[in-house]
Amino acid sequence: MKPEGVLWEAREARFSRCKGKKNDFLASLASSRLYVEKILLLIACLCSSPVHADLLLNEQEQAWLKAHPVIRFAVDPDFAPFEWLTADGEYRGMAADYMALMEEKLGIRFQRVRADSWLDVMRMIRKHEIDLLPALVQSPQREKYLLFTPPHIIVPGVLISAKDYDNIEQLVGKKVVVVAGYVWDDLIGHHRTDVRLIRVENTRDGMELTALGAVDAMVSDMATVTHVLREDAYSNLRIVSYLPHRLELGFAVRGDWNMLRNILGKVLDSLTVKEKKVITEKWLTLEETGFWHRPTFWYSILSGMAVLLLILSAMLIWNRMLKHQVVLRTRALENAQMQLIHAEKMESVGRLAAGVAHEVKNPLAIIQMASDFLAAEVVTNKEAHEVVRDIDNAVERANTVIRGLLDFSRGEELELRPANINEVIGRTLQLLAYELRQHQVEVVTTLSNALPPMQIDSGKLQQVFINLFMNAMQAMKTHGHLRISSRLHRIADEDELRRDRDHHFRLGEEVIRVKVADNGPGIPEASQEKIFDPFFTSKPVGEGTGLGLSVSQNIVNLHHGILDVRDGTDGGAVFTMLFKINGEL
Amino acid sequence: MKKRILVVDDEPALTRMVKMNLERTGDYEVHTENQGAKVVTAVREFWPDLIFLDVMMPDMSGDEVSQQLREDPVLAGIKVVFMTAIVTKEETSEMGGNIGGNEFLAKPVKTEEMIATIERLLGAGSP
Repeated sequence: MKPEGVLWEAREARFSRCKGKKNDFLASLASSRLYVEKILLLIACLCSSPVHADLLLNEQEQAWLKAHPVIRFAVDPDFAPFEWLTADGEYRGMAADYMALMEEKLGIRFQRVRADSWLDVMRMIRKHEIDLLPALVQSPQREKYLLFTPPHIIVPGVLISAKDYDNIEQLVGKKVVVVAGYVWDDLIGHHRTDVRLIRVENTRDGMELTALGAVDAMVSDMATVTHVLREDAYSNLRIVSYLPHRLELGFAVRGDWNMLRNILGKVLDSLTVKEKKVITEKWLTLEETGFWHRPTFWYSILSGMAVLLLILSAMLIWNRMLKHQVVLRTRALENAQMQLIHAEKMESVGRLAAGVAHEVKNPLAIIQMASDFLAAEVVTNKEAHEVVRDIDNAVERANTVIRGLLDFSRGEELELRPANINEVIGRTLQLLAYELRQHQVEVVTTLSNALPPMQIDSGKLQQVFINLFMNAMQAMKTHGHLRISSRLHRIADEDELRRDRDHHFRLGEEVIRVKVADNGPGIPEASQEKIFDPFFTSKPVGEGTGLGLSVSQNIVNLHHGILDVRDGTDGGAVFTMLFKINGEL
Repeated sequence: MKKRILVVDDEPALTRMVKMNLERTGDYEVHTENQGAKVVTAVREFWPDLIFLDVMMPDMSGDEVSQQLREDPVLAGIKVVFMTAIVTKEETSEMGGNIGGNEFLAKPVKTEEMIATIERLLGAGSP
């Protein structure tokens, strides 16, 4: 039903507002479009089979037309797209096109009378100040003073939404907006009590609410929706479904002009499908909303991008992991290569040591036997006896070097048994107790009781401690202080791992740390680099083989530990060993 | 009766020195052999109470010689002490001079060590 009264006056006020530059542009577009539409309409008329009024109307009807050369009509100035007046006062809309077609068919001109509002129009027809209304919904009330032709403008009802609904059944409990007093208000209000009906003053308000998502959907007619969509770019709105109910508008003629109603009815009957289609498509074809306007499209794009992002992230993470793996593998390969080189070196040293041992020890054995023989011969000759003793010492020195070489070459094998490293330290100190007393060395031990047992070769580690304690003793000469400590320790400084050539440790790891510190002269920084090299010694000739620390470091490394040396804060040298807790070797 | 000691080493100077040093004590009769392959024959002729046997010899290793002796039931009971240049004194002493069931002495050996070993294995006095 076409509403009357206050709501329509409000709508009129709404439509008269200034729309700014955007609307100026739209107006110019509309203006240019207007000419195109007129040309299309003309072409449609020309192409159709024109039915002349003389052939269409009987004599009586033709006579009536001649007797009534002036037929007046008024226009609702704001009933787009059915009819309205432009800012220039031009009559536009579906009804305007039908009126033009009527004039064309009948060969007459209708006279438009100015009306300020719809109320004004209705007042004028009732008073016969006008004779014709181009588009009006038929109703029992109006039939009392108006005559209606069959409807020529039939528009389907539509459900529009910015959301992903497929039909009206999905809107149970949802907010659906209609224009108050409109035919859709009656229909939805009476037949669909399962939706939450929201009423607005006009279609534009309803569409705005729908576009903003304030309501779930709107019910209106196709033509009005199409028109508003053309005027305002509610790009996210789309037609969800067509309703079985339609808006039907016919010509309404003043109650005493039945002849005119018949004439108009005949002309309408004579219109070809093509003629009607031109008008219908002009006003009702809803330009398909671009797929890019649909939320589903953007959801798909976003989902696609999210998936892409996930894939990219996964690839990045994978790439990083691969890089990390490459670094680790490269490091492992380098380590393996180093170990191989080291093993080859050790094997060479081992072969060399065995060869040297055999070739040198046999002559040494002969010299030793000869020395023994001579010793018995020169028992009474003191000087000769000292010579024999010097020979014995020389044999012993040479043998020590050979022994060191053999130890160095055999460092690769460990006999692991669970043991506490404190016990190894204790046993070593017992072994060296006499020597330490002789050198008047004060031993201070700070051994933690919290150390867990380790898988170690106690014999080999004892050899390490013997080397370290003897070195300290020799460095301190007499009256030295030997401090030995063991404790659980968390690696806090990268520098602690500088000799971790096989990367067994990591920063923050808890380890067993053993320190052996003396108060001797310390080790010059230049020597600290080489001190673990085979045959490097700072001792006087004859006092060291230069293999003790190499052998010691090798033994500690075989336990996956680190042996390092630094100068103590109060002088002397500090040897530090780090061992893994429960480390598997 | 003197204990009979066979000294086997490919170094004639060494075997000669050992013989001189041991025999001078008056307690031992020492026979020497410088080729591993001739040891079994020497044993059958000399019938030693104990053999000092060099491990690394060019013609036949001490291990092979020992194997031949072990395989002969008559000779199997003769005490054998290996002398080697590639085992340290610490290693032999740690294991009580016994490595893998065999007696070992690490070169260079002092005469007193050899005597101590003989006494330990054969017992003091006459066999």
